[in-house]
Amino acid sequence: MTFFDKSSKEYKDPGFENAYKFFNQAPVIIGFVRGENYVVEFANEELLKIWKVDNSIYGKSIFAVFPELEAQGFRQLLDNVCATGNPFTAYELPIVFDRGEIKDTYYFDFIYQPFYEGDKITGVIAVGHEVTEKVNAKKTVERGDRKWKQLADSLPVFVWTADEKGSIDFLNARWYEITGLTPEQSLGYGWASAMHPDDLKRCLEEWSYALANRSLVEIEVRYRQKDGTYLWVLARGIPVIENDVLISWHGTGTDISGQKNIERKLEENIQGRTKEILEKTNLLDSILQNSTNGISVSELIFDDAGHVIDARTILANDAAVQFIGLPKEDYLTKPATYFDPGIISSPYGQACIKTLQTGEPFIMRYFLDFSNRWLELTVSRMDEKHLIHNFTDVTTIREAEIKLERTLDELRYSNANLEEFAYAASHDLKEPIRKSLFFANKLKEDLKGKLTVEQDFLFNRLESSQSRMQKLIEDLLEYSQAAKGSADKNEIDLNEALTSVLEDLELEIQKRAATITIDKLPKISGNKRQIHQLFQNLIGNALKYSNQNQAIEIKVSSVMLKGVDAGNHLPQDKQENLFHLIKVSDNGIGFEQKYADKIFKVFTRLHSDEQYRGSGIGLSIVKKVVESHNGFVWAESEEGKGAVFSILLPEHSADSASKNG
Amino acid sequence: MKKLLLIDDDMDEAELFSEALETIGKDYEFTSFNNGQEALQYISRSNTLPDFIFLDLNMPMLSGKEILRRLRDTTSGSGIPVIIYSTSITDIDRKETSEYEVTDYLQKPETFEVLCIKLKNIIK
Repeated sequence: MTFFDKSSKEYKDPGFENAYKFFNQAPVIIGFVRGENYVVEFANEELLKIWKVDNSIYGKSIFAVFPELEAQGFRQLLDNVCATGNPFTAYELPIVFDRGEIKDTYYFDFIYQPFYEGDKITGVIAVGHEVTEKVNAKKTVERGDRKWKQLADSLPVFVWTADEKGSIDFLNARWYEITGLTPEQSLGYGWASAMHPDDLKRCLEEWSYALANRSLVEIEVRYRQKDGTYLWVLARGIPVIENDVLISWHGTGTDISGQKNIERKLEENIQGRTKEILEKTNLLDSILQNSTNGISVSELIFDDAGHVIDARTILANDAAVQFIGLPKEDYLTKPATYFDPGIISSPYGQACIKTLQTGEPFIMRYFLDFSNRWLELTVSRMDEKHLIHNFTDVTTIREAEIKLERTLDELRYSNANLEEFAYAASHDLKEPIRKSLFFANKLKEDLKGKLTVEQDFLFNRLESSQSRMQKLIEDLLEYSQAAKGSADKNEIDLNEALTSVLEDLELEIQKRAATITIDKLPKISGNKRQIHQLFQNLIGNALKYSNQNQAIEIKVSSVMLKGVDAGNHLPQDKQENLFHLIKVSDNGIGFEQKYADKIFKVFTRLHSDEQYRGSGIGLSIVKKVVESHNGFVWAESEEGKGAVFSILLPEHSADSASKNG
Repeated sequence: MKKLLLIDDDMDEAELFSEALETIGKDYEFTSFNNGQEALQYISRSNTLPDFIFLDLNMPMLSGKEILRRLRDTTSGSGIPVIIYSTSITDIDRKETSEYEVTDYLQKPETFEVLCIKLKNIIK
């Protein structure tokens, strides 16, 4: 007999039939098995549909029809229910039906309820419903979730999620790997314990703001790593909003330590460079301020046509302010024309404009009345509208120069006075000595025939002395006049000048049978009278100091050379100048070289008047003439072996003559 | 009779000049002044102009050159032959006086004999 035996009398009862129909059509699974072999005595339509059988299964053991269920442990389950009387409840329990090729898996929520007959359990009632679709859907979600988490774990960044209140509910593996924290230590607000204390406040503020405003949050913070060092992370959080409801937060944390290192290095570089620049600026500033030279920079002001109309000092060190002597505020704010309305058209202003245009610096000296100082000012161009002014106090130099100039003036004046005196003295002495000669001569003439031999001799000595005095006076006069007319210079052909001298000395030359050889001589710029006198004295000298028993030979030669090649006769600054070296050499008696300088001195003679008549003025005049032509003269000789007089006259002497004339 | 005029601050010269003129002949009317001012006045007032003027250069007040310049500025004095008579006569002296038509330059001689010869040569 089965539980729902249709042939039984109970089945015939309309109430029973209704109950049967009710169970059979209920939208839940209802089944009933009884006996040791769990024979199916009832399975409603819902269950048969799943089992894919009809009610012919009634009376058969469930495990005979579905042997696979035994393998899945259902006999034990049923045995257990029957043995203990405890119902068994299952949620989403999978059951696999073997249908040949295909294995169908169904999920069920069900309850195995023991069936009592009397106090004996004789079967098991199964009630439940199939939840396969629900489970499958759930599984799909779970699979997606797992995938998402796997993906999150595999990322080299922190990935996190938070609930709508901001409490962190997920952190990926990367987080735990880097921080060494556990989920318990991290979730919720635990992560904050790993944050650098300096960043935490800022981070929490940002996070609160984002939570309050549901806005995206992005912040650079440091997290402590396992090893205690900190890692720079760019943390981002995005609110997930559905239908205007904040659901959760998703976020990442990207390692930006590389970028941060670069930034730090960059910043260090910038700081270093800034420091360097600052140090340099300080150094420059320090140099500027401590310089005893005045340094200022002026900015030129132009009109529309591009002409300079004014200037303003934009920078000046203390020394410059002091040199200029204006109040610093005025000096640095007011335009130049405020202090001097005519400054632009002044030579100084014009020189400044020229420097601005050409870039050529200029140097100017001026005297500052208020400070009693001489300044040397160098102006150079900084750029197309700025000039640099450099002031140096040259008062000491300038005073020395002025003193030197004054001394030179005094010297010139004194020399001129001396010449004037020599001229006046010799000129005025000439008259009395002439008259003394005149009257002595007249007296002698008047006494002619009345004088004793002794008296006549005395008269001769008187005359001789007077003549000698007259000669000295005349030579002194000549010497004092030798440099006269130096300003009056022309081109002179020295060959012509010398020829003219030889004509004057013709008689003497013939008398002494002298041979005079003259090379080609240059043309120079000079005073004709002086040059004539120069050669006259030199040739005259050579004729005079000759060897009595030897034919006189005089040679005049010329060569052009640089000062440096002429021996040690020139000062340093003339060494590179060009000169004509004119040599007058003779075969006369010469002199000891130690007298070579002495012979050029006034009234210096190496011989007595008896030996060689003369006043000792000739070579002094030669020296004076050479010097008034900016030249040099010296003599070389050896006693008895002739003498060489060397004269250096500047080439292009026209230029230097006009300069020094 | 030739008329001679000497302008020289040194009165000895006038004496020697006069003596020399006597030595070489008596046909001369000789006048001397020891300054230019008086000499120029004399010339401007005189009816007969001198045939020769002997002029010293080195004199106080008016120098020989200045006297010469003034003389040449007057109508009466512009044509009178002037002989510069000085102890030393430099190139500069010659140059500075040449523009005023100087007849001759005579350096004061050192003997009486030479003085006589020179004077004779000039005024013959």
